[in-house]
Amino acid sequence: MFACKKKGGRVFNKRENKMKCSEVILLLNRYQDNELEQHSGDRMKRHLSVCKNCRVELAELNRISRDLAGIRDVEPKENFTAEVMSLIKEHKEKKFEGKFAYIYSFVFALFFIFGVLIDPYPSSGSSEDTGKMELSSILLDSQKFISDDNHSFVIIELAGGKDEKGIH
Amino acid sequence: MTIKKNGAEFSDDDVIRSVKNGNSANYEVIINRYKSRIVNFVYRMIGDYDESQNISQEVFFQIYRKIGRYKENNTFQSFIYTIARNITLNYLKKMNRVTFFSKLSEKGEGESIQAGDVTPDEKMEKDEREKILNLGLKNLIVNQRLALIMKIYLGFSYKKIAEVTGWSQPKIETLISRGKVNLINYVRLQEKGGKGV
Repeated sequence: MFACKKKGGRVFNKRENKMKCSEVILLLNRYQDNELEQHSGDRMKRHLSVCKNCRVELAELNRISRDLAGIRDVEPKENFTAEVMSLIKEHKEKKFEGKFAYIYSFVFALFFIFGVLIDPYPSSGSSEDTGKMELSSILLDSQKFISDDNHSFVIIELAGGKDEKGIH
Repeated sequence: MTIKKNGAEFSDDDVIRSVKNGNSANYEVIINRYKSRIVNFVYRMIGDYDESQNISQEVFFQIYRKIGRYKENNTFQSFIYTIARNITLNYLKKMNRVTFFSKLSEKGEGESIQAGDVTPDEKMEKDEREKILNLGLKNLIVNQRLALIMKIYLGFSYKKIAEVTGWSQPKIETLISRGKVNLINYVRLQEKGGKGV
């Protein structure tokens, strides 16, 4: 029984260590990219050492990778760095100006709000009196054009003035 | 501007820290360190020399703008290649695919590539092979092309590609594997005088 198990175990391990070509083909790319675990890599190596077809497949992959890696580089243009740095400088200046634009508009908005809500030249009398004074001066100027005494009286009364000439 | 610290170069994180602290002139160090790899990565993705320069400059500008988001425990390479990938893919989306490839064919490949130390015959053969490879690369679907370039040109592991792209590792493996097979088939067809994949 024990021997059987041992034998069975050995047979199983032997089979596990052998890889079929279909399995190798699936893992070939990972093997070539050095992305296989150590254990699988060793099994691949063993298979490749005895299988010509799989070696040919691997050689194809190696060739295309080598060719791709060998594509010659292009050079960055001469003033590459200077141009990027000047873009950055412009960006910083715009950002700086932008900050000040916010401050200016804020200050302007403050002045505007205070200018509308608060009268910067407050008058000593009431606004009603001021209105009356302005109206009386206008009306007195125009009095000379009015010939009728009664009319002038009424007008002076309306203006709140006490012109003696008007009281007759 | 070259920065040295005890004879050794400052690390990416050292430079980024100083840029974050207001020394934006030090950003030149980052540009000079990565410009060649970014330009070539973009060039391999889009196949147009002039556009690859413009896009790469945009990549560095955007890296600068987003530098505040970079956290030092992440790798800076993943950060920059994520930005490079996004900008390049956005560009490719905008492009009309048909116009793009007809433009490529008209211009030809390798016109800006510097000649190596080879004989004229070898150079012609190498140029021809490279032209086929470049066209084959550009005929792959974008994700296969991106995965292949990251693996073969940049030398990234599947794990790092996953960091940059957000893809799962099995997906990356499939993309790379199919990309290689498609490319092998394309090259075979072209060498036999066939057309298309």
